[in-house]
Order: sequence, then structure tokens, then C-alpha cells
Amino acid sequence: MTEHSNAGWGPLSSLPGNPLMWVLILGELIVFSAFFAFYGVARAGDPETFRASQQLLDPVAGGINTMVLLTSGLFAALSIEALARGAVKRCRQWLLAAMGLGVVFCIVKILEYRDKIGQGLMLETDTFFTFYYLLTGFHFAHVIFGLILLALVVRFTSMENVETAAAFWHMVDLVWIFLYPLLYLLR
Amino acid sequence: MKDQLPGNRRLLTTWAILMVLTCLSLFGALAPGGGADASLAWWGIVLVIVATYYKAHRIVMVYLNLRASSSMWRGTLVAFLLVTTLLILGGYVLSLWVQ
Repeated sequence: MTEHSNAGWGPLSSLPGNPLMWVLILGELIVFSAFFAFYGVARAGDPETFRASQQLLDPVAGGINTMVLLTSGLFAALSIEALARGAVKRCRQWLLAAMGLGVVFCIVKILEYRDKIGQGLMLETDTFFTFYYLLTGFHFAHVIFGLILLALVVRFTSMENVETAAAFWHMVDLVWIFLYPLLYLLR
Repeated sequence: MKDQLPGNRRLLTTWAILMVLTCLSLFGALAPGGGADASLAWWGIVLVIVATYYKAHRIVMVYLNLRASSSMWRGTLVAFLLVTTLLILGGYVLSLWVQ
């Protein structure tokens, strides 16, 4: 957390990065949690359909993507450590590595979508797949936005910018940490 | 400033813990179930839920470095993680119960 900093932002001033990003992050986390609650209610209303459809997902592919995203989060955190030491070039290398794994996550997800669509499992197939595509699609959009932010801070590297982009990227990690058991494991 | 950051060693240790917990939760979900309906064994559910909460906690405290933030934010985020984890568990248990 930098000292630059965020004086005048009240309670948000003690958070890393730009306080406005934290308004976005906290809002997104609440929205995703609301979706999780809706999912739980829908599952309770039709447990057989949900269980049968969840069996069609591959928990190992989801696990690999979890590891990819968590490792990408590590690289984002290491970029801040490097910048704090004044190693701007190393910071950018970590950011690019984080982006690389973010792209790997997207490729695995696209392959998964292609496989499911190839099996005729679409948004309207049943309630589970409606939730599956909406939740993972919404998360996917956040991954893309996170990649754009990381690319921007590779170009405009400052402690506040890197902390801000990394905070968003870790939020993307955090949401996936909950999505993975919800969709792939608890069946 | 540097003193408040987690440091490379703590980050790498956290990453290793996150990897192990991901493997453990996968194991808990793939292990033979507790009933003929192919639902998870009770210990598998516990493993998945505990691993999920702890992973989220580590991301918030170490990756996001909220351990260096105010106690208000730490408490708020931990409460949020707990509520979200319980929402996920509650939805799952409810679906088993109504079945």
C-alpha cells in the first residue's frame, strides 16, 4: 500500500490503489454474491437438473484454470514488490507474465465453451446452463477488462496505477475462487 | 512503503498454499460420494467449503494486502467472504434437503 496517497477519501484512503477502483470492486463483489444467492435458490428448486448438468462440466479443467488465475495473481503481486524496489523493468515483466496467464485462462474457457456448445449445451438448455453461461460470461468480461488494465499499466507504470490494476485483477481471482466450487465442485 | 508489502517470500508461500488447497478441493469433489445419488461425501463438502474460504481469505489478506489496511476494512472483507461462502454452502445444502 502506498503512502502517495489517498488522503481525503475517508475510509477508502487505507486501501491500495485508486479509491474509485475500490468502489467498483466492492460493487462487483456484491453483485456476484447476489448472483450466487439466486443460483442457490434456483438449485434448490430443481436439484436433479442442476446435478445432472453439473456432471457435464469438467472439474479438472476448472481446477487448471483456477491454478492459472491464482498464479497470474501472484505475478501481479510480484510486480508491485518489484516496483517498490525501483525495478520498473522487472515490474513490467511480471505484469506481462500475469497478462500471459490471463490469456491462457481465456483460451481454456473458450475451449470449454466450444466443447459445451458442440454438445448442444446452450444458454437456454436448462436453468443450470443459463447460470453457467451468465456467471462465467460475466466473469470472462471482467478478465478481459482486467487484461486491458494490466496492458495500460505496463505502458503507464506508477505505483498507484499498478496497485489499482492489480487490485482489480485480484478481485477477478476472488470471484473465480467462489465460482469454481459453485459450478464445478458442489454437485 | 516497502515494509507494508507482503514480500516475495510470503507471496510465494501463499501461492503454494493456494495450489495445494485447489488440489485438495478437487480431490474432495471427485472422491466417491456418500450416497447412491452421487452427491458428495460430507467430508468432501467440508473440504471444498473450508478450502474455498481460506483461499479467498489469503487472496484478500496477502495478494490484495489488506493485512496492511485498517481493521475496519479487514473485518468488513472477512465478514463478506464468510457470508459469501455460507451462501454457497447454504444453497447446496438446501438443494440436498429439499430433494
